[in-house]
Amino acid sequence: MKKKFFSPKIFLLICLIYVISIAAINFGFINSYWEGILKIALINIILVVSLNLATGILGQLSLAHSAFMAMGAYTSVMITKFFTASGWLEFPFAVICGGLVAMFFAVFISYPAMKIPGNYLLIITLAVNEIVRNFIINFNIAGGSTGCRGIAHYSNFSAVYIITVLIVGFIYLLIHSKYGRATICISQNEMLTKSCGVDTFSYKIATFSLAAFFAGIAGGLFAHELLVIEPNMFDYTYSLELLAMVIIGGLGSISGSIISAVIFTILPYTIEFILDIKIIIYLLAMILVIFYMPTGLFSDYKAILAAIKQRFLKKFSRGEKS
Amino acid sequence: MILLKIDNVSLTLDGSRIIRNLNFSVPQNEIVGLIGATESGKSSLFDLISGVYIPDEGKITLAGIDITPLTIEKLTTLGVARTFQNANFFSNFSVTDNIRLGFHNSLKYNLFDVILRTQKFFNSEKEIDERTNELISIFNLSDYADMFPNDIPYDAQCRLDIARAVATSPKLLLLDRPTGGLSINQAEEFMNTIEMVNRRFKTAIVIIENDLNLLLNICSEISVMEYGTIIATDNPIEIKNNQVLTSICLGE
Repeated sequence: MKKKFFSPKIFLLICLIYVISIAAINFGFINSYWEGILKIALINIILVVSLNLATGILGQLSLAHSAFMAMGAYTSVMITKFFTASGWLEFPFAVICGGLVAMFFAVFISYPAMKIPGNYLLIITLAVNEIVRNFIINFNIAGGSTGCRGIAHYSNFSAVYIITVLIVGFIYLLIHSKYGRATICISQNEMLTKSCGVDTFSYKIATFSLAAFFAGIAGGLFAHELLVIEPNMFDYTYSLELLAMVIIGGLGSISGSIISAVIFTILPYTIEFILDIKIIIYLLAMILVIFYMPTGLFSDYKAILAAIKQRFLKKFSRGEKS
Repeated sequence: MILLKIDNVSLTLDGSRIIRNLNFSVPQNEIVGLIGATESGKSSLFDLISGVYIPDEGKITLAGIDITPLTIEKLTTLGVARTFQNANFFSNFSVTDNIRLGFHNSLKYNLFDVILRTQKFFNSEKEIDERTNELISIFNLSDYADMFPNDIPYDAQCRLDIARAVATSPKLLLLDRPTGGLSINQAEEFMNTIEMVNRRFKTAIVIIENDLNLLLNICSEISVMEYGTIIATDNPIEIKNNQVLTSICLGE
C-alpha cells in the first residue's frame, strides 16, 4: 500500500461523470426509466462498497446487509410519511435516522458475535436477515406484507449521486489511514494486530456498524426512489446478490466494487432474459471467481490484462509450432 | 531499578496449573534470559506478562503500575512489546508497511484529520515514514524494504519481527525464542542485534532460549524454569557451572 492520497484526477472524473449524466438527463438522452436504473446502480454502489468494508477489509462475512437496508428504508419512510415536516429538510434527517437505526442494531448484533472466536457473525446475520423481514410482515410495520405505498419522491439524481460520492470518498479516506491499515490486519492475524497496540474488538464493532450505517442510508435512498417498498425486497437473496458483487469485484477493492455494482445492476436491464435468472448467473459467477480469480475480476485490471495477453500469446506460439 | 515485578503469580488453563507461585523481576535496561525444558511454562509466562492471559492470583507491576488485569493492546500502549514463537508478520503487507503497523499508536491523528486530510495527518504520516526508514536501516532490512515478508530470507524475517516490536517503542521487550530455526552463526549474529536494541533504545529485554551458550555473553542474569515456576536466578557463569541446573535446562 503506497501513499495514495486524494488525487485531483479522481475529483475531476467524479465531476465529469456528474455533469455528463445531469446533462444527458436534462436534454432527454436518458429517459426516466434509465435514470431510475442509474440511481439504483448508485445505491448499489453504496451497498457493495459498504459490504466490502465489512467483508473485504474487516474479513467478517455478513448476510444481513439487506436487513440493515430494510431498517433504514422503513425508518426513513415512517419519518417522511408520518412526521410531515417542512419538505426538503426532513429527507436528510430521515435518511440519517434510518442509518442510525441500522447502526444501532449492528452494534447490538456484533457485540456478542465478536466476543467469541470463529465466524459466528455469518450465522447470526443470516438469522437476523430473516427475523427482520418476518418482523415487518407479521407485525404489520408500515403496511406489512402488502408493502408501503405513497412515499414522497425525494431521491433525485443529484442527491443520490452526491451521497454516493461522499460515502465512497469517506470509506476510501478511512481505508488509507491508520484505521484502515489496522482493520485490514485484523483479518490476517488478530493476535499480532493486538500486539501492535490496536484495540481489535472495538475496531471490529466500529467497522461492522459503520457498514450497517451506510446500508441504512442506502435503504433510505432506495425507498424514496422506488416509492413502494415491500418486505420481500429485502430478503437474503438480495444480501447474497450484494455479496456476489463484492466477491466478483474483488475483496477489499473499492474500485472493483464500484465497477461490479454498476455492471451487475445495469446488465439485467439491457439483456432481457437475464432479469429472471440473474441470481443464478451472479452466484455462478461468484463461485467461478472464487475458484479461478480469488482476488476478483475488477480489483487489479493490469494483472487481468497481462493474463489475457499471456493466454493469447500462448495460443499464438502454439499455432506457430503446429 | 526494577522495571517489571511479578509477585506470586499462578495460572490455570483447562484444569492444569501451568504457572505456580512464580516470582520474577526484570531490572531496567538489562537483558534477562529465561531457560527451561519444553512445556516448563516459559511462553505461558510471556502470555501472562503481555496480557494474553490474566493470572488467577498474584500481581504484576510495570514501573510501579499494576498491570495484572490489562489486555494485550493496553499493555502495548504502556510499553510491553513481544514477539511470538516463529516469526509473525502480515503477509499481505510489504516489509515497510509491516514495520509501520508497529507505529499505530504513534500516529497522533483522529478521524476528523483523516476525513479532511489536515496538515496534521500528512505531518504525522511523514514523521512515521522517517522513523520507519530509520528502523529499516538499523535492522539491516534495506534490501527487502519493498518486498513481501514471505519472499525474504528467514533471518531477515526474524529481524523484521523484532523491528515491528521495537516500533511500538517498548520499555520491555519479550522475545520468544528469537533464534529458533536459525543456524549457529546466524543466531550469534542475531544476539548482537538484540544487544544493539538494548543499548540503543534503552529497552529491557527478556529472551526465551533453549541454548544456554547463546545467552552467556549478553545476559546480566538468567532464570531457570521448571514445572511452571522459577527455580533459580543467577548470573550466567554460575548457571553454566551448575551441573544440576544445566541438566534441567536440557530436560534431562
